[in-house]
Amino acid sequence: MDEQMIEVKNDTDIIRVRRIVREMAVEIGFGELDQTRIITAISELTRNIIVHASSGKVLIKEVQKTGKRGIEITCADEGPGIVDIELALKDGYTTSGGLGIGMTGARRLMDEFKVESVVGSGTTVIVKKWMK
Amino acid sequence: MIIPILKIGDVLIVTLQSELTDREVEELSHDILDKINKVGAEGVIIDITALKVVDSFMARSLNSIASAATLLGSEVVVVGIQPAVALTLVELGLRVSWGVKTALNLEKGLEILKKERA
Amino acid sequence: MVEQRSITRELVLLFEEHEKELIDLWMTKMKQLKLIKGLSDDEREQEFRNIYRASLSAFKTGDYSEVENYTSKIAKRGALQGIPVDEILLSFLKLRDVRLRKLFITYQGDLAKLLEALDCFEKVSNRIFSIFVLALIREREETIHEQQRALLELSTPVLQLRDEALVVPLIGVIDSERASRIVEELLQRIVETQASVVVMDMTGVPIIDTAVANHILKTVQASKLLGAETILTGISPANAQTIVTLGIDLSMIRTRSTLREGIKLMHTMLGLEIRRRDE
Ligand SMILES: Nc1ncnc2c1ncn2[C@@H]1O[C@H](COP(=O)(O)OP(=O)(O)OP(=O)(O)O)[C@@H](O)[C@H]1O
Ligand SMILES: [Mg+2]
Repeated sequence: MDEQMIEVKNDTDIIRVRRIVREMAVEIGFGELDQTRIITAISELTRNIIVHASSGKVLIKEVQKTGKRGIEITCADEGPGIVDIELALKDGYTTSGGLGIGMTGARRLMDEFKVESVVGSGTTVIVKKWMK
Repeated sequence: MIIPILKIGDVLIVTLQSELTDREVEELSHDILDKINKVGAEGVIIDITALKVVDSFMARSLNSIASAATLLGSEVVVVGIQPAVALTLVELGLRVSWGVKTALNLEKGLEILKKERA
Repeated sequence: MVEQRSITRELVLLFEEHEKELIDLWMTKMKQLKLIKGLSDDEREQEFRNIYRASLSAFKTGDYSEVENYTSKIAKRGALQGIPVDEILLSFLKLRDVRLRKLFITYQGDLAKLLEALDCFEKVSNRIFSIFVLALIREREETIHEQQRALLELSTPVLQLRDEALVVPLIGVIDSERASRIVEELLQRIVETQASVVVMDMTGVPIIDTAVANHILKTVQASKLLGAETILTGISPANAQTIVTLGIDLSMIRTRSTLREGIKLMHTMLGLEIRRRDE
């Protein structure tokens, strides 16, 4: 169980993603606080797929770097894409009446964060967290 | 999932037992406000001790419930936020503008409500 | 290659055969130099024979793991018993000298053979020496690290002042690692003690920069989510200036100039009044 792909299209999938991410984070050995950070971040990114792109995929896997263990999660959709990524990454920016903290928050909670988005063809967000 | 809303005196007590879907959260908000209106509750305690994750959607929903309850003349206190959840919420970027009252546990939540009405 | 091996074998035999003689000589030199005085004669002889044999096994087999094990043991013992690093190194170098002299004496009539023996001896000897030094450095680093950890724990106390009230007297430089530990520890203690007020005293914190200020802000907000209010005390005028200059908004935090004033406010918030009994 070091790689899992989950199709997401509605709010029950958010709970499912959280559960699977938690299982893997526990298995890798993350402590309670880091588990909470990772799951919260993934909850935000998965909801973004559902709210802004209606459906997509979440890929969860264990990764290694110079002897360190970590978790990598990719959230990909084929939705409308983000016009101005820089703007979307500002605290409080929202096009949906949210708090506008989902993306920036996920970035703060994880160790690595990368967004790629093409208007009209979709968005991919990759995040990683390493064991201390 | 049906989440029971208990009434004790003038206070409603809602205990979340497990993670809720967005739709369930919305239904719950609706039910709480409905019940406040029906029974004229002066305060509401939402106990989230069992929640291991509170994301921005949940946080925003709790905030909306609290604001709407105020309009109905009722005070909301969220109790039992876990340390890891609290720290994560702050790192996520929850601002002070999150105007929900909080307390450590049910007992302290009731104390706050009592003080508010005194 | 074959020749190299045969000279190695010759050296090993030489050192094995003259073990007693060389160790005695080595011990005598050490006594003259007054090195490693902390050990009794028996202990020293035992110790020296171990070093002698461990290093010889490296010669014999080309495998240095025994030397590595042994040196790290010595480094630990040295640190425990307070034996100075230079004494440990000088002792080892003395053994090298003793053996070198033996080589010169043995091969004095045959320069070519002597050079060949030196080639072999120097290589092994230098390698053992560097293993020794590394072991000593590693031990030192571990000691420092342990001390830092101990200090870290000592310097993040969360004290229960009375029912429902905690005091956190922060002392020293706060880096990220320490700040995280303080937050986590404090939140845990708030839950355990059911505290509703926390006084965080900064009198002992020399510098408040953006990072520290943000950590404080985070701590205050997270405590608040649990249901505990924070009072910040002891910010020096210089630090206050920095905070303002950096544009950090701590205005939502209750502050008092001194710990004493902070504790007074804490009492008010807890609805307590402190009076002399005869008043
Ligand atoms: N997968 C996506 N596809 C298209 N646009 C997206 C996607 N994810 C984020 N966005 C855009 O970036 C903005 C910021 O996202 P962010 O998650 O920070 O806030 P939000 O979703 O609007 O609110 P919330 O605080 O509730 O998460 C969104 O409003 C949306 O315009
Ligand atoms: Mg979002």
